[in-house]
Amino acid sequence: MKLDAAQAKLLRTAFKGRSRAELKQLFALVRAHEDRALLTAALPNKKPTPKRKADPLVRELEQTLKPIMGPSIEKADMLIEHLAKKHRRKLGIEPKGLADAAKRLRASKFTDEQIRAGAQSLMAHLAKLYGDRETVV
Amino acid sequence: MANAYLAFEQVDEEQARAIAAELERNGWTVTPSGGELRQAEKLPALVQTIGESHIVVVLASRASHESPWLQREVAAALNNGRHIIVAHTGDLPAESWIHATLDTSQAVDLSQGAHTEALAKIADAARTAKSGGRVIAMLNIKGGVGKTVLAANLFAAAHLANKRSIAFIDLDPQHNLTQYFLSPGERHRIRDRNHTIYGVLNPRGEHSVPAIDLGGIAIPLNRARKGKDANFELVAGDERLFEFTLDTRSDRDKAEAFTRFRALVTALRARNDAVVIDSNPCATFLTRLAITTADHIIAPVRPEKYSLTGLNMLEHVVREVRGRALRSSEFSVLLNGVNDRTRSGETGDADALTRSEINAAPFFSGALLSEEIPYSAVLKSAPTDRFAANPINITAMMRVGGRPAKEALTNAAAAILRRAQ
Repeated sequence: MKLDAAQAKLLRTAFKGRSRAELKQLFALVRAHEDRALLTAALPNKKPTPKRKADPLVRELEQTLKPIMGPSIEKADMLIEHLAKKHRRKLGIEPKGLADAAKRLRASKFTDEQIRAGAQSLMAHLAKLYGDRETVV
Repeated sequence: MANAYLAFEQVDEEQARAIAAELERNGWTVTPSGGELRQAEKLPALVQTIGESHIVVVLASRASHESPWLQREVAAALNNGRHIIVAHTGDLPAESWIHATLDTSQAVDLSQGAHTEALAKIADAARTAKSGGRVIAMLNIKGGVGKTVLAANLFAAAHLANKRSIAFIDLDPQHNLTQYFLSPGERHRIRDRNHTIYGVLNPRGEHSVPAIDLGGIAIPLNRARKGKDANFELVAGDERLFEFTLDTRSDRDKAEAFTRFRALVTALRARNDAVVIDSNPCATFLTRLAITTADHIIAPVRPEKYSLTGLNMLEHVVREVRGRALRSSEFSVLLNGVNDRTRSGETGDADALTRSEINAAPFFSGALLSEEIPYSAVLKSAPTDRFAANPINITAMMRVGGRPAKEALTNAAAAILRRAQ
């Protein structure tokens, strides 16, 4: 069976620079093995990217603060401001997100329990300010 | 080049000449009032000239108080939203219509003659008037075309993508723009303090906002740490505005409301790139306020025949209020909700039909924007359990997904602000 122009071009591109003997060896190899074995051998090894262990506190903060619309950085700002007010401490932290906020709060001697309670009381406070719904008379 | 119209009486001609010379020295083209335009048969041309001027300088004296022509010129300036600079050239009776109609508290005193300091003040006021932000009204006599949601999202895009400072005025008794941004609790707190447009329109009584603080009632809508560069604010509306749509308010109340509304717009213009007025979909006193103060009108149109009727009515109403022929460059027609796959296909290609209908129109073809807003879920204002402590986060630009809509909003807002210049 004759190859068409596109198929011929594909072969030329794939085997460019190989000698006749090398090519014959390759064709024989392809004929002798299954696709899966050929692909495993030809493609580079994919190293599974090690998953970073998620911080359970951050995951919990994300869930608690989910009803607030907006980017994580704003939620983190609100959490810091709320904790500072609640614990009467000057924190001066400008976090990049919730994970960063958790990290820096821990560094400021806040326990996970205090941070968790802070997020919950922030939600209660915001729900009182902004969480009410439209009503009909 | 900027145009100034000088309204004066014969007795004040000397001061008028000095003002004209000063303005011309500062790059203005001055049209003085006089016999040429002050003829009954030339009234439309007079209104047209005033309507196309950037500012109007009024020389106030006893003679001007008694002049019916000067009264017509001031009316034309007010109906066309022109900035008015008042200069006192002589005694003005305390009960004069000029005091009642114009803000004379900032008037320049020329009673001792046209001295350099006073002339410099007029030139400064003219420069300030020209350099302020543009006033843009969202209008279509047809309701449900997307005025409110587009106002919020278009200018949020201009604010977030291009760092433009924006002030909204919610001039609709339904106050949907206020509802869009603020929670019921926050709205009640603002209403209890009378910090709404209702307090602005009320000149006296317990619900009135002091005239000195009109611009101070705007509520910030971008409260993020990183959003403090440019303003994004709202003068909230409330349902009591309906009093100004029914005939329950006296003419005096309405005249004072008009003056106070102009003062509010002036205060907001001074600190923003654009003041966006969200109007109610009909022709009432409130619509009139929006039309008379707007430099540019955005008419959203949905791909359906009824919003085209609303468009025709809009041209008619604006022409009636401004008392002159309009230019299509004073409008931007924005097609909203194109490529709506949820619509049944039985009406054919509604988008193409609407587009070609407007393109074939003699007046509005010059106003149709090539930028269009696609139908998108991020532009829906469905009730939700979530809430935005920072109101800007409710807008499409801050929501996840909807990239085509976000790009369309940014491009359309930029095109509108270019046209409004």
